[in-house]
Amino acid sequence: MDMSMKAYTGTSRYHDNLKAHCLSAAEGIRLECCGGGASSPPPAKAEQTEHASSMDRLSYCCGEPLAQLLRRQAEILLSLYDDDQQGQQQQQQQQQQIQEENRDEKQKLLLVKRLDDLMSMAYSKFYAYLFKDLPVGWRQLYTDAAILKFAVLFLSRSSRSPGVGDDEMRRGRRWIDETFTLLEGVWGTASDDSVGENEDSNHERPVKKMRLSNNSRGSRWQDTPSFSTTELFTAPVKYPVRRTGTIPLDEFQAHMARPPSKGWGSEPLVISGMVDEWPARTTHPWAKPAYLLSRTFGGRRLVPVEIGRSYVDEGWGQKIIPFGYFLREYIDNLSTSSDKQSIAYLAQHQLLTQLPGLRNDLLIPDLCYTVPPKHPTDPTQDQAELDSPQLNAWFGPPGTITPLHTDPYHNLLVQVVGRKYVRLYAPGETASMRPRGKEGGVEMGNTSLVDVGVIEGWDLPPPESESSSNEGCWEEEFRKVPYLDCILEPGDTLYIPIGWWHYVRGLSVSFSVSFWWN
Amino acid sequence: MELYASGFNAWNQLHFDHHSNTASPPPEKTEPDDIHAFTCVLRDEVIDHVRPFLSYTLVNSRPMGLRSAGMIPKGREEAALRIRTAGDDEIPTNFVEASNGIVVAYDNATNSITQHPSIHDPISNTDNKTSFSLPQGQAITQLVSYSTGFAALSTSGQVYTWGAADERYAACLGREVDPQNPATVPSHVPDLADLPTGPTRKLSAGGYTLAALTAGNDLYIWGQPSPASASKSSPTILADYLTDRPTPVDINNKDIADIAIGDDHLLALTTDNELYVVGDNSSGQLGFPPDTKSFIGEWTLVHIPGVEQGGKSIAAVVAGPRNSFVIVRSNDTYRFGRKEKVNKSLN
Repeated sequence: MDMSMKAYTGTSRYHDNLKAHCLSAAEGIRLECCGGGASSPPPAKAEQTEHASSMDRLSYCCGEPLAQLLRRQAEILLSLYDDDQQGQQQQQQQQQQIQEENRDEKQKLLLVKRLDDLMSMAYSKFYAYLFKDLPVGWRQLYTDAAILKFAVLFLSRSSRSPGVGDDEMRRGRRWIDETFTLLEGVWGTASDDSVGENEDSNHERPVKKMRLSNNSRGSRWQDTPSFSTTELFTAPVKYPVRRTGTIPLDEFQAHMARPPSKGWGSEPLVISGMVDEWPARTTHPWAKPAYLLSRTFGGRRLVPVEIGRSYVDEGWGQKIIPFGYFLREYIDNLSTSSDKQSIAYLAQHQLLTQLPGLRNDLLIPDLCYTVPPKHPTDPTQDQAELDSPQLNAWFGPPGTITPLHTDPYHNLLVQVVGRKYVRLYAPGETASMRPRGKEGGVEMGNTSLVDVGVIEGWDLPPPESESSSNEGCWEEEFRKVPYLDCILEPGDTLYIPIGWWHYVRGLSVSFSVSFWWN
Repeated sequence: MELYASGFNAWNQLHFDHHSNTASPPPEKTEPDDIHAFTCVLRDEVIDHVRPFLSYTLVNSRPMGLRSAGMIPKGREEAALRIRTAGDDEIPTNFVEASNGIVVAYDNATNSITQHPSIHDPISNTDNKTSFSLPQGQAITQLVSYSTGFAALSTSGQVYTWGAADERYAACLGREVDPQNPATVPSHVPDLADLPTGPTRKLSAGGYTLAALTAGNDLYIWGQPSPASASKSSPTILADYLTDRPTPVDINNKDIADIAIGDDHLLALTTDNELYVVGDNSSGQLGFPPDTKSFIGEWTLVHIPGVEQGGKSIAAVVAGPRNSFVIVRSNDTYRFGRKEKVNKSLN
């Protein structure tokens, strides 16, 4: 081994890599936002073509001034922290140094302010546009400014270290994932497991140790506590969905193509045993808080949660909080405080894109590679074909409710941890589902006005509900509409065909993953 | 007259080159800092139009003519000239742009408001345009935009509001939404008719806040807090006023001469020449250093030494998205009876 490698021990290797990672992001931004100003020479031709498209996008969406402002911040960052660019400054006379440090500090403060400005300008656009109309450039501007801000905060705390390579890397999700891996290394909190995720590629580790850690893997989380299985209320199942064991691809394809009656589309199905081999159910147990914390930077990673019982309730809102706080305050403290504060639900979030460490704990079901039928009654619901199944995570305490609604895709809902009650109404019953209209300018037509829990007497109606006498009328009618229901046990998978209305209720602490496909 | 300014200056939009008509380019590789106190940025005999945009400022003054500062996006002014349908002003005032890029322009020849999906939308492309005609005899004297919509003031003091192809944030409309008065079509605000101190003479809007100033100098405000800054919202006096109905605002019992609203800040000028500010000060837009006061929750009096000591008075207030402008006249000028048109109306 090269002697100089000895310096790269412990956290300093991560430190240098993270520094290089930050500088390469700033360099990428500088090159991409090359238009608009005269302060830097035009890039070489090769660079121009490589970066032109995303620069154009930023300039086009957000305007030349914002693209230029972003580029200027990248340049200032590089002039402050890139050792190559700093060489000349350091050769200057000593007496100027104190003055220079003051100037650098001032520059750094203004740099952070400008990055905050850019982020807040982009952020306000997320609200000014309907999300579907938001030009992607505003998201790029926000992401790039946030990445630069992280880079400034990290680099300004780090001690000077030797020069770095400048490999080109596109920013965004990949940049951020790598940053977190390196940051965990810098912090020294990385478990062997989470940093060396690709253990086979980690040549430095002695083979013997590797085998040892592999052997102990199964037991590693075994002694840590699991989530409580307590259920505050267990909904009764009346018209159970058909159940089956693992089902071959061709049989499933045939099942989907065989609607039991007109207007039903294909029939829902509970499949057991399909996910028994998932690491999430075996060696990387999602049922263990300690494991989930180890995958979320010790619980520091931020996740979006919905606060409130159901997204149609008054006072419902969304918050971004640390994963560990979510676990502590909303999932794991049911025994300690029974006073029903607000419920928080990590719902319909692409958690597994955000945390690739968890993504590796599951396998895309083969069943998602079938060709499912179109919407049985309403072709306008059919969406453009997805390139790959869309994954969403659903993680919450007992009592979370997803109100009666339909999805624009076929859905495999996999129950990983805990139990959930699901009730399903066929697409042909849409007229009886009392779909909402536009509410506050937001299309809510896929969601029903009916609260199944209230109709069944499981929940109290909201205090100010206008329960006049003619309201009873539709309630009686609604109770007559045929439905299917089931309780999903850990390891169960529910197939929800496109167009089926479904109401989902967490019974215990529950962690599910849904796969949308078409 | 003098122009004082404070706040956001990332493109040097508060720095006017005193010797030429062109905007000064930013010096190489140094980031222009914000200005954290109201500072004199321009002098001329008469300053009568100030139009601040995110990255640049246009000022019409005499005898020097049109001045600009900051960075004007390429093609933007040409597009603006193309989209405006009438008026010989050097600074086109008969069109405004919402934060979602939608633009409206008023054509007083046909007495209609035309809505374009973007300032760069070709003027000839009629497919994307929407036109609204106004009732007979109701010419528009002022157009303003907020984040996701517009408000217009007519010659008779009627106020119309509508969302720019967006039914969300209904509080900003200040009126009921029903099938006869849809959110996305200009409809009048009944609460602003028959007010005790006369009809509305001026509108102002920014972010998600709108205001109307009456002939008798009363101020009415409506709208909602910015959804984008909800997480860092500090308690503000505005929370009391900001509802879906125009609500009278009291500032120390004073009559209000002028009002200006930025993305998240407000400036009010009283008839006894006091300047009150409230809201976001993170760029120094309220004239205070942001490191001591990044947000001001209550109407706060601002002293501008240059104005108070010089025996001058404030003629008007103007708000950019993140900065503020105060047009100042010396009282001599005032005594000689030269009347400046400030924030001149459209026709």
